[in-house]
Amino acid sequence: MCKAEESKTPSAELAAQVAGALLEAKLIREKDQEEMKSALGIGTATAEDWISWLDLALAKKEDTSDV
Amino acid sequence: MSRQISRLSVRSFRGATQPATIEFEKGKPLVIIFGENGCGKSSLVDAIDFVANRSFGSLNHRSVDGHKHPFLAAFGQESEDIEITLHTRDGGTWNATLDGRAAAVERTSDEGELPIVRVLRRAEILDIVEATPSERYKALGPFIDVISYQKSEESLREAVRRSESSYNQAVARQEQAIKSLEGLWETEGSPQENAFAWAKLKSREAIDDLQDRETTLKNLQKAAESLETSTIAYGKAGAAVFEADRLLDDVREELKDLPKLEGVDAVQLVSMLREASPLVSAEPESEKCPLCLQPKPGKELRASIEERLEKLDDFVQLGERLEKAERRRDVRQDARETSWGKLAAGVHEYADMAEAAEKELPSEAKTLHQELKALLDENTPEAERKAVRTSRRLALACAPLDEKLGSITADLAKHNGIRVQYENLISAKKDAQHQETLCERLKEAHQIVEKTRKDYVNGVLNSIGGACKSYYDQIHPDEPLGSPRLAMHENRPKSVELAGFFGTQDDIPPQGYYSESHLDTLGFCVWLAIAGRSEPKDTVLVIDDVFTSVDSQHISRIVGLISDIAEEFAQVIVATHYRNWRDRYRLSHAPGLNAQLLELSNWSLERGISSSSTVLAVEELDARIATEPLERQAVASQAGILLEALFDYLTLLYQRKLPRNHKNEWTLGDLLSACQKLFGVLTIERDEEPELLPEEEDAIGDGETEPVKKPASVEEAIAPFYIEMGQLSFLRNQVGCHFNASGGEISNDDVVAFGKATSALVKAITCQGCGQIPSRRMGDHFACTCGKTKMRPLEFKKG
Repeated sequence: MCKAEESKTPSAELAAQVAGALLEAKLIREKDQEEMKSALGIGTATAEDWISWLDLALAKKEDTSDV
Repeated sequence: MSRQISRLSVRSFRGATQPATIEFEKGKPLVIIFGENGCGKSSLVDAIDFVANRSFGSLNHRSVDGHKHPFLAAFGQESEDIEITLHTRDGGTWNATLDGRAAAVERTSDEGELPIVRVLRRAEILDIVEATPSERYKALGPFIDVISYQKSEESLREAVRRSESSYNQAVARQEQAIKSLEGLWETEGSPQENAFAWAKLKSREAIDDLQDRETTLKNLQKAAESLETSTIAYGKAGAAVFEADRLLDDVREELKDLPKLEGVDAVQLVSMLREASPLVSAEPESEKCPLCLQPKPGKELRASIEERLEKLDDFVQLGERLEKAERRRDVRQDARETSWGKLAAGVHEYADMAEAAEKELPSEAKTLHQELKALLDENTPEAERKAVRTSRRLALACAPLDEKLGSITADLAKHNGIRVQYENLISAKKDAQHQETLCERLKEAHQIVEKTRKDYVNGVLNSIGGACKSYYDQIHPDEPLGSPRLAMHENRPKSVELAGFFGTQDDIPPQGYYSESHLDTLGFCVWLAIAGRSEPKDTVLVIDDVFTSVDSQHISRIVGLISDIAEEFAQVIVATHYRNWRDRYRLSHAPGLNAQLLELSNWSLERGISSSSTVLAVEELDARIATEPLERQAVASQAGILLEALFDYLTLLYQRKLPRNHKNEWTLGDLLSACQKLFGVLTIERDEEPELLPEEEDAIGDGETEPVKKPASVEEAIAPFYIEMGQLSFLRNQVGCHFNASGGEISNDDVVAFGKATSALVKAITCQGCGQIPSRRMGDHFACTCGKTKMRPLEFKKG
């Protein structure tokens, strides 16, 4: 594969950045990060996906705080 | 491996009426193709563009009637004869032809990668500068186009909207539950401080006792109903037996009234004849009766029996009716016994339930229940009849229990209503809190997503704008016109604005204020910054004679800029008609050892495009000195021109004083005098490659990393070279320029000595790494492009 094919699109680059930022802000779970990167990079993330990612992270947070 | 172009072969394409091949030298990232107008520079640039980008190149910017592809073929040649072959340093080879109306490019090697080729032509230089903001966005799209990402960002906004809606719905449910509870609370007379506290208390009240009572009463009610059903069934069964007895009595009365036949009971006779008939029929040939053994033929006997049975038909039918009536009576008696069993079981079941519900049971029902039990124990027909009646009275005595059960059920329903509404309220409240938190987090995520995008896009634009500004400032230092920058339009998502600084005003559109030459250099800088953004080491820049309105001073800075950035790209190819551009490299005013200089000869139909390599002026002088027989005049003249170029450059660099004249032209003598004192102090410091010890070289051979050694530097005074050359400089005029008698008396040895002294002086002052006379101000010295040679002093004001 040549370098041009390997290079990321701006959307993919940005998706990787934002997935990292959202994880750092604990708004998503680590296990959802890769799926999010991929969906944001190719523009397929739906409203349901967003609600699901954030809801799961919220549930995780609430579980932890319950303990 | 580098994607540098190593060779370009062109046949029957544009100006190439004859096959032409250009060899690009290894290790020289910069190629200057010099040629006067009409020599074929653009044809070569178009050929590279055709292979790498399948583009028709400069033809794209020209208006022709109909299709453009017919004009790709060289004059008088056919389109199918077009063939361009491009080789790269990493072993790649591509062959391009014209297939119909489009370029057909075929890779003919197993290895190598086609470089990214970006071509800049005069016609395109202002494209990005003068483009509309949306066109500029399109040009920058490959770096800032985040449409896919923005689709997901829009989905996130939709998620925020949905979450807000879910939150509002949860709040509405909560309000509805509060309203319902308050209604119940008010109905109950508003006990406790509020409906919520009341409902909480009520929903926690124990209802086990009520539930138990309800269950007991329901069971008792069920047993009473079952007993009633059994009583009715038993009554019906008794009536049926009575009816069956009556019918049987009727048949028996009829039988009593029948006369005796042949001295026997008619019914018995019929029965006997019916039994005998099959025995007689079984042996028709017998001669005696099988029963009494009296002699009588079997056939006659059989006929006799049948005849008698016919006469007794009425008796036969009556017999059958009697049999049927007896069966019916037996069946109904069995049914009545079964029904009685059920009734008795029902009484016992009721007794059990009544015992459990003793507190609830009315006193009459208790008495009747005891009576009923006693009657069942008697087990007589009279007791049975009484039991049926008592059972019916018991059912009536239990009627008040229905009301009691209804009241308990209503209490339980009310309690359940309060509890359900209270739980609804708690659930809706919890849901509303969850939706509120989720909504806040979605909004927070949206802020991050949006900000990251804006930062990213602005970062890219700032990076491109920053590089552009840096390039622009290098060409236009300290000018009141500059600081170009790129920014996304605030309100239009797909628009990029270009702004600059002019005088005291910032944020002005350059198109409105910049001169044509400033716009040219700005366009070039923007293009260069964009080209450098994506894979520069795999990119070949091709600049096709773009600067026509830029003055000599700025061209000099452009040459410096291109020399600087050449190392950042795979290769930079500059086609120019400016002789000075080439001569700056030739005369060591630019890093000539880093550049390949090619010169195109005048074009003709017969010859097509032809090229030759241009050597540096000092190398050319060395070659002339070594030529036999010696060309005295050529050596002296060449040395003189080289010296004039050197001293002209130095007087300008150090701002040396020169005698004023109208044309600003000076003799070699003027220039030497102006620099005489300077050369008294001028020194050159060179970095020399550190030498490795034998054991260190062995270690590298064994695969170890080369030790980092600081290069040794050697400083040398230039005065001795100047003095040696200066003693012979008179030769320039006497041998190289004029006719005079004394010139003829100068020996060849002196001419050679002058040439060598000139060559030595030029080499002493020039960097041996990049071939440039140091000219960049760096701290206390001038530095060359590669940084390996320093010239001091930085300032010299004396004399």
